Amino acid sequence: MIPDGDPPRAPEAESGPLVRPYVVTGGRTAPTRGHIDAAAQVVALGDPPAGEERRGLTPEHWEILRLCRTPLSVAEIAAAFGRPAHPADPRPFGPTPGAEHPGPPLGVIRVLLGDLLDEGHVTVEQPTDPKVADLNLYREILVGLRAL
Amino acid sequence: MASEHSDRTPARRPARRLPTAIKIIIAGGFGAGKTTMVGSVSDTPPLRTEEMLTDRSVGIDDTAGVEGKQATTVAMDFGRISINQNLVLYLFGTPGQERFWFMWDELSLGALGAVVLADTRRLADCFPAIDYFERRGTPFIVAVNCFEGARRYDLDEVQLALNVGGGIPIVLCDARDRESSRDVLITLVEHAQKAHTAAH
Repeated sequence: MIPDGDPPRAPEAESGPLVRPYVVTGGRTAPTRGHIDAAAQVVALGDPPAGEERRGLTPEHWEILRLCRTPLSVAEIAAAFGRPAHPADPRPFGPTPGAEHPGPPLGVIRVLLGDLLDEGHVTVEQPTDPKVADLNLYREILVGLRAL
Repeated sequence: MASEHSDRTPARRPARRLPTAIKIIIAGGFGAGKTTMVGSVSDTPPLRTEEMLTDRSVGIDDTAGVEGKQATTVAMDFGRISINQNLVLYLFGTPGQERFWFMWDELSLGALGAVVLADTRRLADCFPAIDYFERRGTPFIVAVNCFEGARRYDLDEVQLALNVGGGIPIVLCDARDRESSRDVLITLVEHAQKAHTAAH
């Protein structure tokens, strides 16, 4: 759980839509790590950071940690960024949900994820390339699709 | 990079194993039904995310460059199919414009394969996608989206017009229909499985 006492500030609440999204990354457009795939799975590690570990974390970092308490892809984090977790639970984040507000660009999420990786707050796993996996993976996918 | 941890915090572990994520690309010309298919077969309505061209054109820590640039935003619709707790499929609709090839490259990297959606009223619109996946060696199939009011073609006619290799499956579909879209994905996965078997 992210502690209630430290609610992330809505990045867009005061300034309107983020026309310069890379402001939240301090202008950085590339993460400190290598490329992070849009389908890469992200999950927050352990307890939320406290004390010294919280230094350097912005509200946007907190928002990512909030979203990936359970595993979520980079693309899903971007799409859900700043949205209330539930309509009945409005949080002080960002704009009205809707397709016209796709959230921050993937590149911004990648930079912020690089920071969180550096500090050990998340783990990230790239998508599996089925070409290098064994055939059981295809069978498992087919079983799942046929059951839809 | 399979999995990354910071060495500084070895005690932290994810609560459970991260799911295996598989990427599938839904490609085709503008208006061919990509987002419709993503939405009809996914767990939720299509989600939208954006990529900015500045990602590739501006160096690290170049704040002035970001401010001075007219940022071009490319929207991309995607969906998720949870196969089970440990396996998730992501369907990514490609941005229609061909000038965004860099996003196709990124999406195709490590993808299981691609569905090229074809609209028989504008069949030529899907040629660039077919060319792209043929060149890359990405397993793909062609799914002919049967729009209302469009003349129904025989598969033979479409195959002739597309001039794709004999081994590439071509199927008819209704992108609005969940079962039909699911069957398209099954055809793709079976095709990719064959390609995988042949290569090993």
